[in-house]
Amino acid sequence: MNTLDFHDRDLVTNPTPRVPVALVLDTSTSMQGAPIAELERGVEVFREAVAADEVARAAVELAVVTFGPTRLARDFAPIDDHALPALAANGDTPMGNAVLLALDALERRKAEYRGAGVDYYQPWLVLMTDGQPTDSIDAAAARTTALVQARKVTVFPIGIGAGADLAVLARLSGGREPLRLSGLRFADFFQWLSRSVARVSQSVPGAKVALPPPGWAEV
Amino acid sequence: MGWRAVHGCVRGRGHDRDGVGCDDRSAMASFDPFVAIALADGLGSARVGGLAARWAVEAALAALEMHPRPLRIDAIARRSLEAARDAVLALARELEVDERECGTTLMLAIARERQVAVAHVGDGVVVARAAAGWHVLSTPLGGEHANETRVLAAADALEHARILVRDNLSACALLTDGAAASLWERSTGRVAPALERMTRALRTMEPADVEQALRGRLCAQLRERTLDDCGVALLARPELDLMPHSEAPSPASR
Repeated sequence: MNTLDFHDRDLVTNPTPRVPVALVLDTSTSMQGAPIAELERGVEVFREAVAADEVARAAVELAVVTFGPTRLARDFAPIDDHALPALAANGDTPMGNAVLLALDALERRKAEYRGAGVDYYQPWLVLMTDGQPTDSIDAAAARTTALVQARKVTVFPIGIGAGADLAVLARLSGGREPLRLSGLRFADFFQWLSRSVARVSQSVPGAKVALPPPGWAEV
Repeated sequence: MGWRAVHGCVRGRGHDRDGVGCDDRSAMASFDPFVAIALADGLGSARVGGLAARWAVEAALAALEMHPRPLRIDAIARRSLEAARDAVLALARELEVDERECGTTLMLAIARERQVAVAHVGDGVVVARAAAGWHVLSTPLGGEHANETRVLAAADALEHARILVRDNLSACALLTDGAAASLWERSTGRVAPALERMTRALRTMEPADVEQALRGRLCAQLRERTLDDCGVALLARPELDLMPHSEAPSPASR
């Protein structure tokens, strides 16, 4: 009887489907001191936790937009490809502009995925602020609402400290209730975020992804 | 030598880890003059997705026996799809669960003489071999994102179903998304050599032996490269490979 064996050369390799994550971080003057230091440490915790997960490491692509002033501090790239940006607190709080910049970067990256035949999961946009916007958020609110309703993006709005305006954050989240970070538990939040994106990166078509409970939030 | 069919599914490593069974289901049927294969991917998030997948493939193939012979092959494929959807909805009623708990995709290929009809709902990939080689026939019918798909039980499933008819194919393969990850290169459309090797093996080997290789050696390799369940069904008429393209009869000559 003949036999039929298969080898690696008989198969093809496709890139891991990507989970684009945009961190939109308030680095305005009010974040000076412990908040900006803890935020920077938290982002590093996220990078380390994602890098430690076999699937998430290949799937997650991270971009960082900072506002005060608005800047694409890190464009979308695999978690290990580029160093994280140093965060410095200064300027005012142009939150609306920052969200629009992040959405533009997301659209650009999705077009690149499509051009390269790379599958991708619904992008995540994480918005963190300790204050109120100093620019108009109307355009950003309209765009995020439309995108969330069309299931094109998931927005996680996070308030830092008592000064964060959760009502403003709610306008930018397309319906997801904003949560307020308990104290300066950035590290706990970013651990949660890494566990959550790891679950998404391992989900298959039709799967509902249940996120872990947010133990970092004020109740 | 006429049409031959082999098929098989393997539980994914993700389902191993979660302690659940394989939700991909495959089957073949031969009712003169048809040879057909069906492959379904039950949704992991649906309570009885795997069972729905089984009911879908069985109903789709059983329906072939009831079709009047003069019917066009695309109409036969549509009726089989309708029968599969009816079966899934009946399962939901029987188990008294919401139809969403019976989430499954379905791919179907029916061969009659020199024609092949394909019906496709949801994700997964259908590839085919003609004289010029392998090419993709149907890509995933889902949403924009990697974990979104359409399901057979959805109210608009038949409206969005893809039904195609092709002449003079020498093979047609159905791949669930887990298998497609290693058998179809998304960026270029290239089909993995493994499918050509199985098609060629069907010239010289018994289908049972090819199927054993598919279910054993091939599935073992596929599952090492994904967390998802993997399902493959192949319909092949290997002697058509030997026929020069110019001698292949055109549809009008029949």
